[in-house]
Amino acid sequence: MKLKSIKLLIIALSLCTASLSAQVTVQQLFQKPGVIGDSLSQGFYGVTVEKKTQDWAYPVLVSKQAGSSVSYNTLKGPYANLEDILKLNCGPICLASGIIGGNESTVALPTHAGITGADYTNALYTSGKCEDIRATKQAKQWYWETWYWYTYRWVTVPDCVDSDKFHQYGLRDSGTQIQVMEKVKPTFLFGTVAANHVLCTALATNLACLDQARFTKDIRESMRRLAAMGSLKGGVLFTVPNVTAIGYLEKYTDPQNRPGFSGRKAFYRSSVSSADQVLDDTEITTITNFLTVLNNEVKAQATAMGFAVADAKLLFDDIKENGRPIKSPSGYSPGSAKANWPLPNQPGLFGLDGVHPNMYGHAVMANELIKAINAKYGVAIPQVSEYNAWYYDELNRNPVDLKNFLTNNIIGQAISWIIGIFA
Amino acid sequence: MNKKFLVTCGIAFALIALAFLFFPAKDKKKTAQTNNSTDVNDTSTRTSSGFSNFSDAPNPGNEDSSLEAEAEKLWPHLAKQDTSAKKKEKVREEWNAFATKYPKNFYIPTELRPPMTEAEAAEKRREIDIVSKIDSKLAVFEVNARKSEPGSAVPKAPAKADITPEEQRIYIGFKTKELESRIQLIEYSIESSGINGDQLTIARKDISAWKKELTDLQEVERKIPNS
Repeated sequence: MKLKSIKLLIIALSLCTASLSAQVTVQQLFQKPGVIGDSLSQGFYGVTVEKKTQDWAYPVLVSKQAGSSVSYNTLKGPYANLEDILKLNCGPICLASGIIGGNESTVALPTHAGITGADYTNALYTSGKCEDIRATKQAKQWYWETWYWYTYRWVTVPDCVDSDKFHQYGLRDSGTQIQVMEKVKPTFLFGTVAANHVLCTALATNLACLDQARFTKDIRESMRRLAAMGSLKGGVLFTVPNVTAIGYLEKYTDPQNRPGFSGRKAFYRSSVSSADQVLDDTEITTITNFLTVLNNEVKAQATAMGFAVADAKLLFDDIKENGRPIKSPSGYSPGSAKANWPLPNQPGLFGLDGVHPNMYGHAVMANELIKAINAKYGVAIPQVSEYNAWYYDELNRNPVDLKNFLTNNIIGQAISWIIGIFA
Repeated sequence: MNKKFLVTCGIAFALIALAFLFFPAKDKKKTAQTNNSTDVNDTSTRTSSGFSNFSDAPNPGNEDSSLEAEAEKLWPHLAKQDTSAKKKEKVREEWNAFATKYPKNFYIPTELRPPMTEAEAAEKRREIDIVSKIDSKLAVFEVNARKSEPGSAVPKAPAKADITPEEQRIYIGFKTKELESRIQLIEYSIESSGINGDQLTIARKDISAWKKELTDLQEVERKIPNS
């Protein structure tokens, strides 16, 4: 008993010491959190963004756990919540409303500007109005050159092509993600928009979208502008998991052993008729090498900015290998969650697209970020109860095995939407 | 500030030490009681959880009341969520009403359609394979186009097609059916006053764009050779 008391005293003393050495408090850090990001931060969930899923996204959870909050334009689409459709929770009008999309509610200036489908290039240059704010065209400008000579000259004017609906509804007229942050001037930044620089390879089983030079240039420019705001007291970045190991892809061995036909194929594909439909070993090596460069850059940027880093790649590898244990306060356990969508008697961290986390998955992600933030800044943000998140996760508790629905029309269309957004 | 903090830490430190010296037995007893009460509550939630997976999982709020507050704070949708049989029945009725008007609509849920034969199911899987194959090909083409410099040479169609006329017919057929059904679904929702406000403006603009897309698809379909 006395030994126990002594141990506790030592822990209490070390906590006090750690707090004393901390540079900032949680309140100072999270006085005004800001978010740039992609589908992960916006709460994209097979195959839509809506208020419910935005509310459970990791930056919202971490901010709430830190006693703060972020504000965002809430969406009601575009597209459809596949889980609700397959469970008959959404009728024709609900589906129509989702496909069209729109805003459920809006804010004057969001502090959470994460947008589905975005990468660092989009964070810099895609606004709620224009696909690329840098785009220009030549136009005639008419004027009086002399008092008697009306003529024209060629001038460069903005060439604004409408951005996609996620940007339109998510950012509205606030500018690009980085411009939003420059207006918000956050004290803490959730700053990862790296995944879509590489996820596209998995979804289109093709390497065409890999562009290391663009990634490096745009993450550096993003961080330069964010640092120049002068308001940041801290932030967090995370590495990108191995995208070739996500639930969207499954192992495929060509029965005829044709070169380039074996590797990893999309889960919904019943056959492989061309080498384009699989990622073979050589392609996987190229992606892995790109991912290493990308993650090293993320870590380097975090160090330069004085940010915490959560190693999501390591986390995902571990979950893939060992699962994520779930335990209630009394010790009840449904087992360990796998890196896939949940199945009967098998908890899972992902939604029905096999790419994005479900509500429980976001709680796990939030906890990993909280651990990294606590360790970096010597603060004590409480973790989310993962059991609580799992218990209330509708997909975990009433699972849908997508493989039993592969003959549904909506699945074909959902795949088209996913490829269109992320590939 | 640091002095104040040290004093607070010292007091907290002393209080924890006192608590552990004087109340260890009581704490132990409390833990045991919590576990017992959890078992009781666990049994009571077993039948009323409404969850099909791990229906015996104990309600977190019954084990630790702070978790109930956590759930309310972190997941506000839970309080409004309606997954009752009544709601499902209402949704089923809505789909039935829609299916009466548009019996061949692409979006009518499978549960409300006649069951597929094995051959039909295999055909559907093949259709999804072909559609996703061509969608991926087009996505890659778009990615490459994004990298091209303005005014640079536009890639020419290869002399030989990389898909068969049958595959293209299946692809165009899928896209046409989906677009027609999507337009029906949105027009039905507008007629039923289910789409209002800003969404109505977006819907009208979308329908007009989709109709143009449909015309393009029909034009391409006419160009597909027979073999």
